[in-house]
Amino acid sequence: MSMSGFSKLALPAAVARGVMVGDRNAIAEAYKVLAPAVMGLAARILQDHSLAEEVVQDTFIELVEKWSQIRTIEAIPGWVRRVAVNHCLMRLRSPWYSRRSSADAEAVIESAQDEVSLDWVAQVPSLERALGSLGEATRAVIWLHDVEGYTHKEIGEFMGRTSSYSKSQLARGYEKLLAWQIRQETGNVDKTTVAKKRARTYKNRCAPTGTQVGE
Amino acid sequence: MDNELDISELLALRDGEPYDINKVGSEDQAAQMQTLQKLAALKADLNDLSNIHVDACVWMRAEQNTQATNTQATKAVDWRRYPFATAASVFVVSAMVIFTLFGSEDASFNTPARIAAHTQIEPTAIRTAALMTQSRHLEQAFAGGFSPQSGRLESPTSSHAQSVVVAILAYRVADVDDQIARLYEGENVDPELRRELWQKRVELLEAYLGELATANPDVLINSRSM
Repeated sequence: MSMSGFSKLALPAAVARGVMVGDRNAIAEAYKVLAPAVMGLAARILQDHSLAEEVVQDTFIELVEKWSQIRTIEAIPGWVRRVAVNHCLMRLRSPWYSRRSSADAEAVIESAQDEVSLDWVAQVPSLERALGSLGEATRAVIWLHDVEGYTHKEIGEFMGRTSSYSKSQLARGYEKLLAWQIRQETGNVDKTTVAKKRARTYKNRCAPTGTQVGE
Repeated sequence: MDNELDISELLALRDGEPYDINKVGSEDQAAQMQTLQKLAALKADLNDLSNIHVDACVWMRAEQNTQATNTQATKAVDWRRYPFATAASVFVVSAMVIFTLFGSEDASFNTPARIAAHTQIEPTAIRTAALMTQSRHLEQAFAGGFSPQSGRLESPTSSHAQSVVVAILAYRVADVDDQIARLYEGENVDPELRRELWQKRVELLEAYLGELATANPDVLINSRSM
């Protein structure tokens, strides 16, 4: 059973009723409740704070403009989540995201050579860091399946792939997370290694040809 | 190895999905259960990662974007009804007035937007947001004194020449609106170009306001102070 960031959230009845009639004040209140969950989802999938903020913004613009598509009060969080997921995946597919990733890769590679700049590593929870080191598609599948509770079939549809693709990405991701966990347990890791490996991962991911995003 | 559950099958077992029951426990049961527990623990840990605080300005930007879109949509309908042929025919007559209006270096025409353009105090996005807000306020100021559908001043004191100027300004505002709309259609919105367009829009609206105030000072005496 998934403990999705969204499923734990509930809009106050008056707010939900307001959203269903497009009341701007109600949508502003709904934003306060739902935006952190949208931000959490987007930040984990995109691994980019400013892009995640863009997703939050675009998601709520869509709520303001298309609230009439929501059929029931109970469907509001799910509708918002689906819109947010679509915005995330759209960004993962965009050439603009690839260009940003390349720039990020250069920055990470440089930071890996600078011990002082590794401070950021210590500030991020370990699992968060491990998730971020996975390929885009892999971490998106892990988050959508295990945290947001989507089925493999739904994830396949989101990504224009099959449910088998989603299953294989999930398995691939957990293989890496398990390996990471073993290294954590045995203490066979240091910050420099983590940063350099992360940099290599970014660099491989940004390779122009023959790169599988799930890697 | 064939008789062991792989990660994919262990995940299916963890999530209550179909799996090959014949493989369960067939080899190293303890190791498989340990891996299963780790997979479940990782999933729980992922779910325990907290949601992330969002800066309040994100909602402000979203709201301003939707207001801009609404304004654009409304204007698109309104200006389609506007008689472009008439506007074109009076353009030549009004060209001198427009030139005077926009070619002037008169200090009184240094609007807040123009001043903002020459000061690099705030980042582009914030200045754009401020211009959007200013634009909205100016439009609200027009609400009582001008009918966009007719393109005419409501004031009985307005002259034909003033009506013509207003018509031209209205045409230019619609044109800027169209440019802004096209800007948002693209994948990569140039923030500086967006700011420039919103600044242009504010300047046109202020010129508009000036014409209205000249025609009937009583109507807009309070709104000019915005």
